[in-house]
Amino acid sequence: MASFCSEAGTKRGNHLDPNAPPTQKLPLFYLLDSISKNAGPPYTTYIFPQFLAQVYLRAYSQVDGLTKKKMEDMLTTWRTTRGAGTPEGELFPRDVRNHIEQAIYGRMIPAPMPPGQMPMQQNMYPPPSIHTVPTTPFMPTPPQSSISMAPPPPHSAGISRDSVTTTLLTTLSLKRALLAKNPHDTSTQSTVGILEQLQAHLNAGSVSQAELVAIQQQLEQFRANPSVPSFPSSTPAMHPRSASSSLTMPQPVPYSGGFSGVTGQATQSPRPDFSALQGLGPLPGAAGGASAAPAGLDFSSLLGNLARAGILSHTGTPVADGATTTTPRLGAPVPQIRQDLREASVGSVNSRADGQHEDAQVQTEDEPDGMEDYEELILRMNVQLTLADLSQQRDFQPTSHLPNRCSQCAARFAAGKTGKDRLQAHLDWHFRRNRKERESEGRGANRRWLPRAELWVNDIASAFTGVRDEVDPESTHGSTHGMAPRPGGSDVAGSAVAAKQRNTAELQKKWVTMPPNPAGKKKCPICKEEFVDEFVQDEEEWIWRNCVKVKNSYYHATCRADALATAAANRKAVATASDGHNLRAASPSGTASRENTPPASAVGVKPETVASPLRQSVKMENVEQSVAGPDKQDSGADNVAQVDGKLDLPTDRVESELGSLKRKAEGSPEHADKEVKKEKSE
Amino acid sequence: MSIPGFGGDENPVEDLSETNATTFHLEGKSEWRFEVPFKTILSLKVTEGVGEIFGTELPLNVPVQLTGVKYALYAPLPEGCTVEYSTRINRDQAPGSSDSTDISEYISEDTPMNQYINLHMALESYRQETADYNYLNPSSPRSGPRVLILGNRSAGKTALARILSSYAYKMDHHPVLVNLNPRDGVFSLPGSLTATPISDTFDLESANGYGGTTTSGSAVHNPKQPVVKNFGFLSPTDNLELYKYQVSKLGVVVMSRLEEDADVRNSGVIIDTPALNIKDINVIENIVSDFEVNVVVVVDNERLLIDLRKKFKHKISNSQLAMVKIPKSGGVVELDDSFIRQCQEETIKEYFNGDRKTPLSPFKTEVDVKDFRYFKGVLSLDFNPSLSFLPSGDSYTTDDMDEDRKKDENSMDKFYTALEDPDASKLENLIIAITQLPQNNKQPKDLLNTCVLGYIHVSRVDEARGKMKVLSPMVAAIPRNILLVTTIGYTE
Repeated sequence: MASFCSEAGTKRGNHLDPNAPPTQKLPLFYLLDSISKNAGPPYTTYIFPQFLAQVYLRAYSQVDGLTKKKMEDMLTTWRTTRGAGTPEGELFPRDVRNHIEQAIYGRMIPAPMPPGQMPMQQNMYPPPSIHTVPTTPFMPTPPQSSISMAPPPPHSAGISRDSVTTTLLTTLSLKRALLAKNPHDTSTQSTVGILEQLQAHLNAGSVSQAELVAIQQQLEQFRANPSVPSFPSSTPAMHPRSASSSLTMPQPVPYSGGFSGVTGQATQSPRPDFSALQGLGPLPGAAGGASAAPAGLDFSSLLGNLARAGILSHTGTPVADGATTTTPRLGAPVPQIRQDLREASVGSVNSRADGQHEDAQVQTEDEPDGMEDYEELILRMNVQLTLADLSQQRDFQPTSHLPNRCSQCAARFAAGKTGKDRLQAHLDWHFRRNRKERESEGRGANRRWLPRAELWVNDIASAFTGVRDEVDPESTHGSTHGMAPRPGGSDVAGSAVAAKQRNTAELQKKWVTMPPNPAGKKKCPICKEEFVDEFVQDEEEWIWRNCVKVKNSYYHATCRADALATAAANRKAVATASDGHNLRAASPSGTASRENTPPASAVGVKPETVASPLRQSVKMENVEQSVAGPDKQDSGADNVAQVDGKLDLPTDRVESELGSLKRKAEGSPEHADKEVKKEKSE
Repeated sequence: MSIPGFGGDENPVEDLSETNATTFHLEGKSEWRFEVPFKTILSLKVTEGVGEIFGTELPLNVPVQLTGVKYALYAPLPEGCTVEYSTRINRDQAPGSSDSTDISEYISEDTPMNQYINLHMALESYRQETADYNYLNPSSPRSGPRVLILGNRSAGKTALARILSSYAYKMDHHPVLVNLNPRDGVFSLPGSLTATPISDTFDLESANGYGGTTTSGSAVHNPKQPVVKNFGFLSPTDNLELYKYQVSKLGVVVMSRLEEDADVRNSGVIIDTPALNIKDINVIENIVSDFEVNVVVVVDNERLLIDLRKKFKHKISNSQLAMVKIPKSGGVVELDDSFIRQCQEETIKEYFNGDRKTPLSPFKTEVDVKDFRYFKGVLSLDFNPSLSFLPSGDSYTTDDMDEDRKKDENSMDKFYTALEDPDASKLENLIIAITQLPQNNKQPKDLLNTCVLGYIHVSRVDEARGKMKVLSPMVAAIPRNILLVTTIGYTE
């Protein structure tokens, strides 16, 4: 078991070291089996599925025939054992099992067959090399008659899918036997090809009742007319066609959604089919075969029907796919995975042809970015962690895909529109930073307290706001706010930021009528920028936008909120850090009368001076209320802060800070309160 | 023209004392190594091409002010870069001492940057694979590479950690940079162990070249938010047990972050360490398991690599752990103790006072000594005096400690002791860490698990009045939390 557990931690199948000799694999699998059936989750849902398919297939490729059989038996029990792996109640997630079954049986899931019908195939598992023999291109998917696989669960009454599947498989095996006798029989080959497509479609799930009936009828015809006319073997071009259609396992899974996952893993896992395909690759006429039409009339009519019904793609398609899509996968598996990824992100792949079309679309959308190329390049380079590989000279610039450079801090961004947009957002961020820096000049900033571990763990939104993900141009303070330690256990940084953005938008809507003689009042005292005069038709007035009037001064609404939020955050940090008890104890009047009575200071006052007589006080409304609703109830001391300009303070800096806070807050309490109420009612 | 907000010409560099301006061209793939003493400020800018200091790219034509550094500027592009620099006297530093004010500099074409960048590419492909995997298997996500950097003293471990983090950030990843060397304060003060998600470029101009934590004001760089464990000593050997304990606690926090944060998870972890050798194998083993390390990079220590390969044979053969040796840069210089000490002082100073770009206003206040509960870390030698009689070269083993542990499972005796009657000799001129733990907490174990809220500095203790003068970063009352007295001294 140790080897399993440890393998669980490995990142890729090809790193697995098959250290257990083949003869000892089976007991380990039995152990795994036993754990899964007795313990269940999380082994069956989380731990084992991560590596099960890889490990199983690797072992399967190494063991002898008898053990293979035992492993298949075990696989069968996984299908029938009840478990929590899937919604259907199977032991493991279905795509894991499907993946294994597809890899070892080919794309065919055999139905129970009368024993002895094809006795020569009992327990016969052709080694991969046989696939490369051109005369038996269809051999890789022999019916595994020895293992009775239950067909997929029926979907409907009437003609059940099971019965159709059974019929289909029987027909298919008959045709295969026929083809085995006469490998150059193109008509049989195409029949097999069609049947295999049908089967794939059936296995994929959603087949309507009408389609089932149609398929059933066609199958009856096939069976009624088993002696398909035998054509002379003059068309070798047909070989690769049937070969690839049986080998490449055209993915029937668009409906199940597991397509990309399955292929992605399959590419990593050792699968005999690959080597087989490699052998087939250079076969003559591989491309020519694609256009060849099937010979048998009834087959083509069936095909036409089905194609019209949207069930099957055109005959040629799977062949073309087999040749074009699968072959590059051998040489460069990685781009294929990434292509699959893109497909997965597109969501629906109706047929291979459509899937490719969508591929192309997605690619063109992403192309200007250059990131896709970079990611693929990175994966293809696959630098190994050995000194030799690390010492290699690579003609590659790690930043070459990031041509957009910030002129201020040299942060780099991708090419194309995405990159430019992000650079723009980044520059905006610089702009706001710098503006804020100027605002805070002379006010004296402080180092903040550090977050608790629990907060840090969840400090996701705040850590990266500002530089990377910030889109909203006015969410400057979102980041700093989120980073302030919070008293509550749960961090609501994300929602706080969102609330903040909404709030900012509202602030920006505020406007005042321009005063009669604006000289001397035209600049915001905080950011020292002038208000923009604007004439509004509706009001027939000149106004200043993003502006509030507090007593006799005009401020930018956002600047003011910013400044107040900073002060409030400071206070909050104090209250948080100090249990708040000394502050609150010293401010009994804090909550009682918010209108006039000065509560104790929370800003920059030595504890021992808090109780001193308060001579002059100003009051600040609390932006915290509109900014971070969840904390509203926090404390009275937070809600109202008072600044005593005459307190004996230790340093000039602090004094100046208090002074500036005081100046800022110099609004009439009534007005301020109205503003708060207004904001709240909004 | 001054664009509002960008402050282009608002802070002109005072060029009165600028003695010289030198321009030179740095060839591609070579690096310019320079040492700037604390008494000198080097104003450096790249006027053409790309130049980076330990992976952090310099913006074009924006001068960077450096003092007290031993850095290397690397030109990654074949066309090289053009560099302009000038020096001036650093007026913040006390004049008088005999230290030279000259910078020393030379150009070297022999750098291991190629290997370092290749190492970055290897990690990058790992990250990409992880991201792809996590995209396909959102229910069972995996973590990006967890890289442990080991090596001797003065091997360039920290520089490598910075290069890897900088590059990762450049590629839009946000790895957690873990510093386990209590000698350096990374985004924090010396004596601490920190973990910080890298959310912006490093601030080359800050005291230790990393940058600062959040302030109430604005900073030129997006502030980093570390989680800080207090160790309280400058060397792990001062109390190895405590060190290991704190490392593993930090590991738990970092691993939880990786679980919560998809961005960080795909990016992984980069761990910088003090100089550990094979004698410290149990520390290394701890780190490997605490941070689920899967890539060990040994800087220029073949012997350590071989020994570690033996020790971790099992993990390596299971592909759970990759181990690679990487050469040391010829540019690494031995840091002498006084330089290290000065770096630490600058870091502390910056914590309270900020730097030239963003000055901060710390808060001086006087508080009652008795208002607080104090603990301090225990020196292993004090706790177990017999250790001091070990023959030289014999390493400290934990075997005999195990019995002690069994004896008093809940005792903190070998980690922290309460400071019962704090007086001047025990507090004055020391850095004190404020924990996140309220004073009324009764669980001694909690003290081991808590993190640091911030630091204060005690400048004077008036024993007669029972008061002490304290420097706090916040204009605020000092939180009534348990205080941990470190051994880090500092005078303003």
